[in-house]
Amino acid sequence: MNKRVLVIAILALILISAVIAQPLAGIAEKSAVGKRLVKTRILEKLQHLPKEKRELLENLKPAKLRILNALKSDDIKKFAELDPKHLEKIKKLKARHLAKLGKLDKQVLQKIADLPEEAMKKVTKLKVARLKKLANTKLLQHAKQLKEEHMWRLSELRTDELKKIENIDEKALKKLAKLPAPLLRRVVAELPKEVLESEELNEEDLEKLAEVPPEKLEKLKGLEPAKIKYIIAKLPRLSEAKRRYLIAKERYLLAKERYLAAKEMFLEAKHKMLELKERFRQASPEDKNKLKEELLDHAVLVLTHQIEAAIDRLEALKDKNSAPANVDEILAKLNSMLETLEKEDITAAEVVDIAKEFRALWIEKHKQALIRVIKNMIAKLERIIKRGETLLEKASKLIDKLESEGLSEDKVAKLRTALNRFEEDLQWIKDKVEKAKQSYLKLDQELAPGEIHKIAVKANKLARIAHRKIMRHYAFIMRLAHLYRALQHKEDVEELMADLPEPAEVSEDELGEIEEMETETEVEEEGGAVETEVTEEVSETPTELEEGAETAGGTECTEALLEMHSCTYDATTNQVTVELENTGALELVGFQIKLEYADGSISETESSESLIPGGTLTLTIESETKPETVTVVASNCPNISVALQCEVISE
Amino acid sequence: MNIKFLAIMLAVLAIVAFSGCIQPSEEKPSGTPTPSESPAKATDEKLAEEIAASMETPSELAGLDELEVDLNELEELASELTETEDIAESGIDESTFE
Repeated sequence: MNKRVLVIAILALILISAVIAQPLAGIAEKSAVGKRLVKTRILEKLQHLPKEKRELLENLKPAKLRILNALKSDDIKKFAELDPKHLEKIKKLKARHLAKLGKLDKQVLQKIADLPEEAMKKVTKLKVARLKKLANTKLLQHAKQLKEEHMWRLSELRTDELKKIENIDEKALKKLAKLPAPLLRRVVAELPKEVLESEELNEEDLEKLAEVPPEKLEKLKGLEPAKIKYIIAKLPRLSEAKRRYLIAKERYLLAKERYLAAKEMFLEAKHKMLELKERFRQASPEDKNKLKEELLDHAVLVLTHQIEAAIDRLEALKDKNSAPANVDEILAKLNSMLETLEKEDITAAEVVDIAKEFRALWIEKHKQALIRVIKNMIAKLERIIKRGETLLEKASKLIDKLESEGLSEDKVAKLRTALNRFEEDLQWIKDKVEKAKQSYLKLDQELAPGEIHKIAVKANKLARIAHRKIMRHYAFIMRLAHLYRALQHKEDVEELMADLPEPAEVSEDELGEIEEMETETEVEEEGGAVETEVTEEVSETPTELEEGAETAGGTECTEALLEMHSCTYDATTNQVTVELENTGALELVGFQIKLEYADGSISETESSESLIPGGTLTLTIESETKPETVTVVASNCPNISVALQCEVISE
Repeated sequence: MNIKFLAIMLAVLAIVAFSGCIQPSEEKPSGTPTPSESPAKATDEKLAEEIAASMETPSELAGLDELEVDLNELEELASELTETEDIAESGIDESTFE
């Protein structure tokens, strides 16, 4: 009896373990499927390769295998054609940087693969178009000795400017690369190569030279470096405030560029995944299994790029002191999500969980960040208004001084009238900011994300109007400074007194937009509640496939780059001519052109012209007076813009 | 003997005189024009003053740099406000793999 019980018990145990083991084995098999299929797919594409190279690629981490698998066959071949020692280095790059290399042509990829490992890691952080630009010069060879921000600054130069300095010695190059981008550009564009290379001039000297007015620099640049040094020793140093700002701006631009590149990769991957999702839905049952694995790989890629974009955005906001509270904890959370996505055996359920968790986290944190930016913006506006008030007081004293220097009575009266108008204008801005502040102070965590975005758009409009107006104040004050200088040097002031800067006007539409916000605030104050039109989370977000379709054209902007070779103003024809070159790999369609004048006024126009990669384009714009600066923005890639100071070619 | 002595003295004197002639000239600090360059120096001084004057801002307008910095920072903050939360939506949910 006991034996029977024992036998039955043993049989029962065997049966139970068999029943349990079956699904466990299934799970184990299922979890390995993802990785096996990624490898299988890669191997299919690489079966012609020698064993040594195939093994190198096979041993890549799953995240990198997924990146490779998402590339086109021709792009994979580019990697496969590299030497094993190059592949060994490339294996160590981050997945996102590997994805970037996939967008480069064979020659550029080879040049980057030739770099030492550390230099390769550094340059692959730059956006694709910058990489291509630098790879077309000998400057890429200096990547080991230069920092990432140095390489970024150099890639801000035009191709002809890069060619000018590509052969200078490394010591001189390092000195140049330490200059903030606008100063670097000025000295490289204006000074002869011999001066740039001279050991006589140090970094501070070059900074001073970059600040010298154009007509004076013309006199200096023909002199020997020793003489230049002797002369500029008497010039003021670059102000510390300006230096700090230039460096901070660069850091911000670099961080923002990283975010935009990651965002484009995310949108591109999302578009591909949505297409695959549609194919999966319509697939026959026998094809579904294979497609499901592929869909899982793509979903992991989408989430990886999405989280990387979020990390880059938070880093950029951190630099502007506008990140949401506990930003380091959020970053840690996002990095742990990335780690999960790196798992070989990640499941569809885990992917869905991460997608949901990220969405909830990001909507909340993005809202907090916007609130912080709006509050910082108001504080900044208040500071600017205070500075403006102080400067207008000083301007009044300066007019007194001009009077005592002998400026005629009628001219002094004209200046005082202008000053009064600017004082009234500043009061107008002050009132608007005060009203907006009352509205923004109501910002709290209860607002729906769509609502906060609506307020942010309005705050942006207010900031832009205030900016435009204060720029005119700045121009007026500068005019007073020029008048003072002219009087002291016994120069003619007639020209400086003509066309005095006036306060910038605000259109009816713009005024309506600001006042609409004020009215909304008042309704809220009176009624105790305000009806919100936008209650959905993201009011302007298109549905999945619509968005995919819409972003398809914009997803390649990382490949775009634009250069402005010249900007000239012909006073006889009243025409501004700009020479543009597409140095990227994407056709640029349409341009927005902004002309900024010395008095702070701005005029904007558009062009529907297209510019193919490698092509050049000349745009001509009518203008009554010479603009100080012209900025051109590509309509299909708004993050691609170039600006240049204009020179007069005919008086 | 006297002639010999005279010849030695003459030789010594010649050496002393010669070495005096080839004494190294006083070193000038790099970048400083020599006295013979004084007209050039005056020109350089004039150019230096001219450039410095063109870059001078009246003391009444001190603080313009800071205003310029603030205006640029305002522009950057304003551009942050146009950023939407469009990276929140991945398009992945339970229905994706069904």
